[in-house]
Amino acid sequence: MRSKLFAAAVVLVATTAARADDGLTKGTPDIKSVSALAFGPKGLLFIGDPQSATIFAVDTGDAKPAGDKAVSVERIDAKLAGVLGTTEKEIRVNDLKVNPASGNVYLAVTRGTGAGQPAIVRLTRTDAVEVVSLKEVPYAKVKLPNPAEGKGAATVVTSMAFLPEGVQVGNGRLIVAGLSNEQFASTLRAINYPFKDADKGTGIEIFHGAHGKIETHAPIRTFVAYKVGKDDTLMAAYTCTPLVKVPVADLKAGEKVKGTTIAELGNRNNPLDMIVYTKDGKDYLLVANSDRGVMKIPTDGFAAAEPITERPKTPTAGVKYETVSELKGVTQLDKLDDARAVLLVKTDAGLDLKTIPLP
Amino acid sequence: MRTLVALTLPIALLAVARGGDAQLPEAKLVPLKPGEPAVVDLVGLDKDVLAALRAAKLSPAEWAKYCRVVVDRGTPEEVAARPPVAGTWSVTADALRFEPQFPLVPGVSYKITCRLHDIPQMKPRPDGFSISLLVPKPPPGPPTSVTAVYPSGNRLPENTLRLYFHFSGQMTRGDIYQHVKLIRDDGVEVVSPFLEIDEELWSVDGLRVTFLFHPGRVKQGLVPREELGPILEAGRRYSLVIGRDWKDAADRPLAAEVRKTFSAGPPDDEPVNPDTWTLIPPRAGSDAPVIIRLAKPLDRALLGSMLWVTDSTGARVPGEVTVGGGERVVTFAPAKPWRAGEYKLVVDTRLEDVCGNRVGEPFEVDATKLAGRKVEAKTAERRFGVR
Repeated sequence: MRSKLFAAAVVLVATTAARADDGLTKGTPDIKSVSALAFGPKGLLFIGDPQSATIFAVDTGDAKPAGDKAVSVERIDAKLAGVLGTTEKEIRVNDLKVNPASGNVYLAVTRGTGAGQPAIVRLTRTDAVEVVSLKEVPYAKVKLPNPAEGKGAATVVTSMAFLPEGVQVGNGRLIVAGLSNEQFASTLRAINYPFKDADKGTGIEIFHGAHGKIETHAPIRTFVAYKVGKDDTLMAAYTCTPLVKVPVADLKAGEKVKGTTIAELGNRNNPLDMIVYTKDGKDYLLVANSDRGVMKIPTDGFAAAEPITERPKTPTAGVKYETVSELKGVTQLDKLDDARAVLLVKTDAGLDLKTIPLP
Repeated sequence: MRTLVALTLPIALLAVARGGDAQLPEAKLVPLKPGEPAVVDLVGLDKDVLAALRAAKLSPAEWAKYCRVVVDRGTPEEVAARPPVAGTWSVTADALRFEPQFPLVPGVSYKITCRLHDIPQMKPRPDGFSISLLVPKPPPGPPTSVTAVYPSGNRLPENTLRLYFHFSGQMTRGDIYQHVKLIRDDGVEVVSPFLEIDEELWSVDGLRVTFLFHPGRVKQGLVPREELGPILEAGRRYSLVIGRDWKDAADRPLAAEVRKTFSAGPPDDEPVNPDTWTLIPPRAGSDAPVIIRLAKPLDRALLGSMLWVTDSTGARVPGEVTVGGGERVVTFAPAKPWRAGEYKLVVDTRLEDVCGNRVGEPFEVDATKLAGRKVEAKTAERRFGVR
């Protein structure tokens, strides 16, 4: 009996120590809003909270493969409204990410009108819709230094990605693209994980061409991390859709970084979300847009692409793409696995969630 | 004879329970802790039933099998297909309790179904029930109105970048850009004048939203401008219209349409220059504010956070910044009367004018001059003496 108790005590100590290592402590994170999600290793979920200008890292405990069934839910907005105890018109889906550790699909939802309440909802591979409990969970947080620091200032996190770094599993950098409601500049940050208080990361301003010599530090709408040649690179898309490559090595706190515009994907358009994938040995970017559908862009020309520095004479220019005509109304997308993508699709009735083979 | 009693007794009990059908449990919303959603207590259930439920020690998965709260809306098929509201079930001293993860919504009807008779541990099997709960709507307050629009002046540079709309209450979100129109003096509506950001740029309190004029339409020669035309043109007049159809969080139209009429002036590409401001220092011993007359209107929100005053030791003087005069006048009132001495008005160089020009840096910069420049929190200063 004694030895059993002792064993239990040892296990307890071991788990506490493991927690201390990854910088997470158990508690209830004070998440006030949610605009973007990203996954780290082993079911670690990053949550971007604009209202408190904070990034939370939460251990979802969802790290076991949940099967390989395709996910498909018609009127996912109605299901979300159901579990959140409200009506469809009080549901806004802000982001969708697949947990690579389990394959379950996570949705960042705002419930209610006005500022509303944040909710993280998980769609399992058996199409169960579950609210992810954020009570008494292992978590860590880091405050984004707000450039304006005014009473009403908020940093809307538009897009995040975790880049593993170093030999220690779980260590890496979280790249965060944000948008201030009081300043126009893009606030891109590279934040070391595990979070350290002293290392909050300074804003990086990215400039891009296409308007001739004169450039503005416009906000990034969405981005994805991708290796161009040997170099870790952010492929970033902006309003009116210039596609810009930024070497990750250049992302140093406090630097003004110049991105290279390699494509103009067309005007009157907002890029909404993008992923990178491999098919038949070739890599592609898949970009969902507000007005120009879903674009499939082969990446093989990215390294050698001519920078666009002058205003192009045609509406689109630079690396070529094809529009995936059968995909309409896509607002969010993520890779479900190596062969399939999961899409959030806006229809006249509401929102559908569906799985497609990668095009 | 004995066996007969044993047989009839449960039937009698059942009959009581059936008779109790007329007195279905009543659902009561009970606020337990401030900041937490109110719980639903189902009161009026038989004490024995509650005791048996407590003894059954159901797991969350078992509770979910037998008891559910569902939004009661649409056809019976739709209600049946709807997933239950997330929350936890428990038994208190006198009630069956449902603790929703999110507060139940006023004006929404819920159906509470408990199939107690299906719980195998419950002996004797009580009847199940299905009851409705409508969370009452509080009486509506005054309708929401637009309390301010910034820039507040009636002449804006044609490259104006940012607008702020202030509201008296929470507004609906999701399709905000369709409620605001820009109409030129010839009655023509300017097509898509705003940069439509689906995340929407609300303030922390939800009472202010930021709209950006599309920057690609400001400069000559940019594709967006050539395709869609300019937004503002110097010399013309415009009306910015916030429609009543923009509903507030209680689903009511705005109290009134708001129409801001202004004329467009030439573009402003000049960086903000604090050296051109006029400072009117207060007298020692008074608590009158130091008055700063700006050379041009600056960003309303940034003025509130990017100006402060330090004393001769460099310490920040506690006090309050007020912005007025069409965002051309800023005052700083100290919390305590001024002591004679030297002071500095400190300006964060990220302070912008309405066109996005910063202190010492225009909105649009020559890319060839970027190399080696840093993003730094720099400040500019203006000295003033209090005598």
